[in-house]
Amino acid sequence: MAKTPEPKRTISLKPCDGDVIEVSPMIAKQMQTIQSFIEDDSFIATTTIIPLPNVTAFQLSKIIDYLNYHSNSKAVADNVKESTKKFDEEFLKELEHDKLKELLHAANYLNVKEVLDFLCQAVADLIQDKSVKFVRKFFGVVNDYSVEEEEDIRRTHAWAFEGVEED
Amino acid sequence: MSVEWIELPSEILESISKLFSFYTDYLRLRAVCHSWRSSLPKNPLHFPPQLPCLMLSPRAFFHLPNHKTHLLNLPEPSNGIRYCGSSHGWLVILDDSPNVRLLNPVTRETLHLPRVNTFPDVVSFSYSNIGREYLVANPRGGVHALNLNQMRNCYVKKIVLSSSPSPCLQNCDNFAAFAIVGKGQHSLGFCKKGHDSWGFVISDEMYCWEDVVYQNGLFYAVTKEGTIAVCDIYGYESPQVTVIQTTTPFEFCGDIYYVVFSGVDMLLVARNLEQEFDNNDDGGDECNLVYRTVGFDVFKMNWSEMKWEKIESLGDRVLFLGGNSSLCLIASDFVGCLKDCIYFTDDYSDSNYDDACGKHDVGVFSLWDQSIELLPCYPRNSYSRLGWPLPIWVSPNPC
Repeated sequence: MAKTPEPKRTISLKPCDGDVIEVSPMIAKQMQTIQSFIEDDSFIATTTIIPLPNVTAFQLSKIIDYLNYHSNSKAVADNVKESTKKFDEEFLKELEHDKLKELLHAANYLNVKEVLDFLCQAVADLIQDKSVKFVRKFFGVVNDYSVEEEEDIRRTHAWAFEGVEED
Repeated sequence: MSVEWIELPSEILESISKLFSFYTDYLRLRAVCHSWRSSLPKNPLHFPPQLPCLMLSPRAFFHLPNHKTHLLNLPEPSNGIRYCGSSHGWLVILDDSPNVRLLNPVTRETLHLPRVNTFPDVVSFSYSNIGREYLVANPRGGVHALNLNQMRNCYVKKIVLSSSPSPCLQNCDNFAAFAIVGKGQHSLGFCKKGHDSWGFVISDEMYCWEDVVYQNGLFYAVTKEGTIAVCDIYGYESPQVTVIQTTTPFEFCGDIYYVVFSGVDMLLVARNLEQEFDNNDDGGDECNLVYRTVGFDVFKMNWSEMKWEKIESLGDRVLFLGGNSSLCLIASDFVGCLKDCIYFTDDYSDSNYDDACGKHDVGVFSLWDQSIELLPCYPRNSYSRLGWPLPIWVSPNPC
């Protein structure tokens, strides 16, 4: 008697630049964008590979790492808090500015609230107390103000623009 | 893969901006480019109270973190005005007219409170009675005349606001202003949003009100004797007032008193002044009688015994006192201010102390060693500020 195959317990995600990555339904559930795929009636979990054209393998694995770590450490004991803090710090340390920026995009695309909140905080911490020039460079934004407009903004709130770190 | 950041959804930008605790960071984020400026609201609502700066005039203010004087250039006259209050980032400004103006120096918005001639004891006002423009009744029934200057400098002692009056706030309908007024500061006045005149909560020669503060729906006024008036102007047809007599310790003998809440603790701060003769720095023979702050004592209300008890330390807290609504903050939330300290400014005007001249008295009193350090907020020649209003603390508020 032929055995029915075990139902597949993972979701297959295909980043734009690498092999398929399998994630547990619990992790996939936290990615709102993927959740909508899964809830779609035509979705067959056993065969379908979800393509993620806007996310690289690096970004996807970072996000999965983060979710995995944090879903395993929900306890509130002090030593857990401490190691979570350490994990978060290490997580950010490995990211250059460009990578951090792109990861924020990926988290936004996948709509993973937990990672998004974490990365927004990281970016806010990074640009706090920094000059406008630094913020522009960090985000790669071109200054589209005319000299007069910019002077006007600075004059109106001069105190906000003085005494900040340039980089 | 490279991403054009500028295309990032504005929700993300807004999420980042909401994580800032300091308004200066927010201002710089809005200054990045046009699209960021338009996607971040001009009046963000999420900011906690900011570290106050000292308004020297509509032209300049002193910034604590870097001890620098910055130019502000508000389109306002800097002469002939008086700051008679500062609450939630809004200055209350009096001038040579009956107008009571509210100005937010950050957003430059202006609003008006009912005019001073609408206080119940002002019998009449006319510009044509030169030198006696106002006729004011005293609680005994007599009437005396006040000119424009006297009305500006002496009639209103202080005005405090329950919240920011900004129309962009959802709860702005609860906005109320509260005033200590009258020649002997015998009266407490109030107005709510939409009122076009002031009403009195209490007007009684028995009490000379020294300071008032708003806390959780109630206004608390105090006298130099430590008496408290708890005023409820919401929820009733007419305002309710409860006057509480308190006992005070023997050290209770300050020259100026301020009331402030630190969480649930009600504090009364006594400021001690000393008279001294000041020789003009330029070597002239003329001597001026000036007042100088020499110390502070802090008392906490013990509600179960209705007793003011002296406290020796503010812990991690810091107070900002002067013509503003007295403010208590946690020092470690900010860069550039010290804990267990009182930041004070000279709010006692020449008219209160007839002979005092324009010498400034602005500094930081530290409770733990009782020392006073003056703040270098004016140019060395103190007389350069003559004609400017008395300086006042303002906690910058974007709404």
